[in-house]
Amino acid sequence: MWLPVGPRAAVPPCSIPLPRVTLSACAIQTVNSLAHPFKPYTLTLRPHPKLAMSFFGRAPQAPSGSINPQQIEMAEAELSMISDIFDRIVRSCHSKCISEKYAEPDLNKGEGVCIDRCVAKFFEVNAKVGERMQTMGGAAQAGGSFGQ
Amino acid sequence: MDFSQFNAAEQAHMTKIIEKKQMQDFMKLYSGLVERCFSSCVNDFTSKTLTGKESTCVAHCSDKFLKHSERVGARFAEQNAAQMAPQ
Repeated sequence: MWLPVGPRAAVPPCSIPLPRVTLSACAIQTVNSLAHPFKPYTLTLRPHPKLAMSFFGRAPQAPSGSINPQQIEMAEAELSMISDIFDRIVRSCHSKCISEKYAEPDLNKGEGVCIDRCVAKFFEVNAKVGERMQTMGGAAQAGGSFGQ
Repeated sequence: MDFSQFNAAEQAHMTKIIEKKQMQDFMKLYSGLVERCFSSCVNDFTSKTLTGKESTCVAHCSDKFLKHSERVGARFAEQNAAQMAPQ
């Protein structure tokens, strides 16, 4: 998965000019500092094979200096898939683990533990569903029909 | 996609894409959080301004969600690292 790169740089204080259509350099800086805890992807991320479901083969590598559009496309698709999964996990685990009462601003211990387990189970479900889909896909190919 | 296989031009391209994505995600996070905290905290329309209770609720709501998101991110990275290790 996306392993964060290097220590997080300290962000100079700035006010976030939200909402606004054009983002200032300050906002960009804030985004980059926030990106580490909230979105676990940086350039050195390696997508997890199980998570990525090994749908993507390897495109031939272009001569150095030029851009291989196939590889870029695959990387983009993988990036958006992982980002989508992260959003879903945040949403589901929030609705399952955190009550809407908002009595305090911090996560209490129970909520923290719930979140940890929620993420672990989500990954297990992800792997299981992937396996099922692969077996079903294989059976459909062999049998020539789908959804029996 | 193992980014170490990409050449410099491709890496630069991907960096730009990732930056753009981070920006979009940040905006989405902001507006999503506003809606989430509004719908769960603000239900009394007898006045035009937020009551004290609603203000504290919104503050707690946003703090809690951001901490939650941070924790999920940490566990997410851990899980993936753990699953990738034996590969």
